[in-house]
Amino acid sequence: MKGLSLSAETIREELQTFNNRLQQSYQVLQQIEEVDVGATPREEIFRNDRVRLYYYPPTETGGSKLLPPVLICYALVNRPYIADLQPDRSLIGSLTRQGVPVYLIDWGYPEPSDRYLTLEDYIEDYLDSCVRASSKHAAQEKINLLGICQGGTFSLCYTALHPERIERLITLVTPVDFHTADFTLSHLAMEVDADLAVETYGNIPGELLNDTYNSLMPMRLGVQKNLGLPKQLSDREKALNFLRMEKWINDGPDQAGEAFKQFIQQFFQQNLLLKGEAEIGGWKVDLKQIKQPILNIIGRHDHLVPPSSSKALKQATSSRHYKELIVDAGHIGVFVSSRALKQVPAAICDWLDSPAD
Amino acid sequence: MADDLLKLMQQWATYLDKQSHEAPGGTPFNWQSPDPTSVSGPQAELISLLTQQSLEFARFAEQIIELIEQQGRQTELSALINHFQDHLRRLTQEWILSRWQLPEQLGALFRTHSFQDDLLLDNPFIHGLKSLLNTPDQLGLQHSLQQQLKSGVDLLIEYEQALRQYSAHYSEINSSATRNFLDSIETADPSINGLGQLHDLWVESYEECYSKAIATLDYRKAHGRISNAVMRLRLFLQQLRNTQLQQLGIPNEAQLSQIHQQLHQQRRELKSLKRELSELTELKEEIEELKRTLGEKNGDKGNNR
Repeated sequence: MKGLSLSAETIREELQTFNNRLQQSYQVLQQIEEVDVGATPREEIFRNDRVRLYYYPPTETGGSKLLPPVLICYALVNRPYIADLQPDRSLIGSLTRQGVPVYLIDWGYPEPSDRYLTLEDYIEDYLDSCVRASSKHAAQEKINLLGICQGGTFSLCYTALHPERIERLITLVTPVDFHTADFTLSHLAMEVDADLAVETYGNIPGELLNDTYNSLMPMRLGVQKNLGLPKQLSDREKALNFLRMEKWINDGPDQAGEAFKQFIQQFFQQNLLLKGEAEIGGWKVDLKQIKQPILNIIGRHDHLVPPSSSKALKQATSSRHYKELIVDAGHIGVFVSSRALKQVPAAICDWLDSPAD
Repeated sequence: MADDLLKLMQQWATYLDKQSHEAPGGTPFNWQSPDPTSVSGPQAELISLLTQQSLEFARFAEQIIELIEQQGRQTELSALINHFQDHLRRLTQEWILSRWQLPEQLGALFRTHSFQDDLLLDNPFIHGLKSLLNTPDQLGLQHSLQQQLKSGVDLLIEYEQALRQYSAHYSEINSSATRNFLDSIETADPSINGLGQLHDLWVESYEECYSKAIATLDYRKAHGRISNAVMRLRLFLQQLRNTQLQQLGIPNEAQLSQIHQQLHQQRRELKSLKRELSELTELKEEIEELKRTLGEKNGDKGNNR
């Protein structure tokens, strides 16, 4: 083989390095007692069933301008603390430090008794009550809504149904067109019988969804990630970063059965959002009702929600103030990676501070 | 978990110990086993994963060293590549089976027993069948039960076929990934001189073929078919269990689900009532406010007179 020049000596050296790092990793892991997440101070200001609304006050930065508040609506499929993972990797922390009061919806962990919660419950009850509670708390008639991933799709639905309650809309890595050619997750969901899934499982287990995400890049997220572990874990800070992320990845809540079914069928399988035919509680979701200024933030290397899907938003609404920001990151990297965190919060603040017209 | 971890640690320690005595030219390892009881939670799982992965990596590396030392530096590594392919095939099959495993109850039924096994005639499969067929005749369920068993077998056959179809895709992916891998090695410039590089190249080659394959309509159908086949089997077993529980007068999952549905409906109605009540209260407050304003205005008028 022409391109291969392995020698026993080089491999031994490689193994030695690997082994040294492995030993260091064991030592580091033994020293770590707790993996903490959620770094920014907050207070719970509202609750509705299992849903909690948290308030993160802006940090006093001496003379810095106070910006309009933002309500963050995260996806149901993972926990929202990814937006505040650790001090140096916190979208929320970066926003509050730049003078933005932040509200965050925590959907909680659905129990078997939540199997019949529908999209109507999530959008018309939980999201609506959080919009009202945050507006009241901020003494604002309208609030700025920031939706992440599936939370972005929810935010679009909510804004289309209640445009009078939303000032501006920010969507992060949000699926809009579910039938673009490179939307692998949607492609795989097409033949899955969602009725059968809910009849079988009731609530859809979080682990099942996690397996699905991992199966999109099995070697990269399996062999490569694992072999890189000794390097990653041989340093305490890097190990903690890794463990926090792992904690979050493996902390996927079960999905309320009915809502999951509706989302899979209406959005993934039938692409009704883009067709203007999605229904929430009997109400048609017409994206053309959205006239608010929109900031659409997209991950260039997003393998879960491809840029082509998010970019469809540009033509889908009636907004005359549409801005797109493409970040050199993957799906999670857009709001977690240190590089993206230098760019994204600043862009949000600038946009919030800029006139709409 | 702790037992598994301990076992892995011991395997690793034994392996390294063996290497230190056997490896030609001396061993690169100088490793001390961590005390597995001193770690818990996700860290313990991670240690377990690290150990497992490292064993694989070291084994692969040692085989290459051995081959190179036997056949010289410019050795033809086709034997190793074949070995790697077999290894890959095994890993993929394990992954597929663990991802699309039979529902727990059915998995237990199909655990095999040897003829010397005391459990041969009392294994979970026989036991399960017995309990199914022992349903009282007077309940008139014998015939329907036989039909149910037939349905179960049909579902199993469908599962088996779906799994075969799905596995065929992975065999194809593995083959094309290996071809891609070999081509990439041939054309590598500068040449690859480390195992880490070789692994990275493999990952690249695999992911490239994999992403193309899963984007096809055939794969989508195979994925949907196996997903649905596993769920149908699981649901079938749940329904069977529900029937049995019902016969015994024990509340079952279906009944619990009905209760959840009713609870959900009532929760919605209660919320709607609360909302109406809150709106009424607001209206009442507004009326009181209006009355007060009116009273004050009337009072002012009276005073003016």
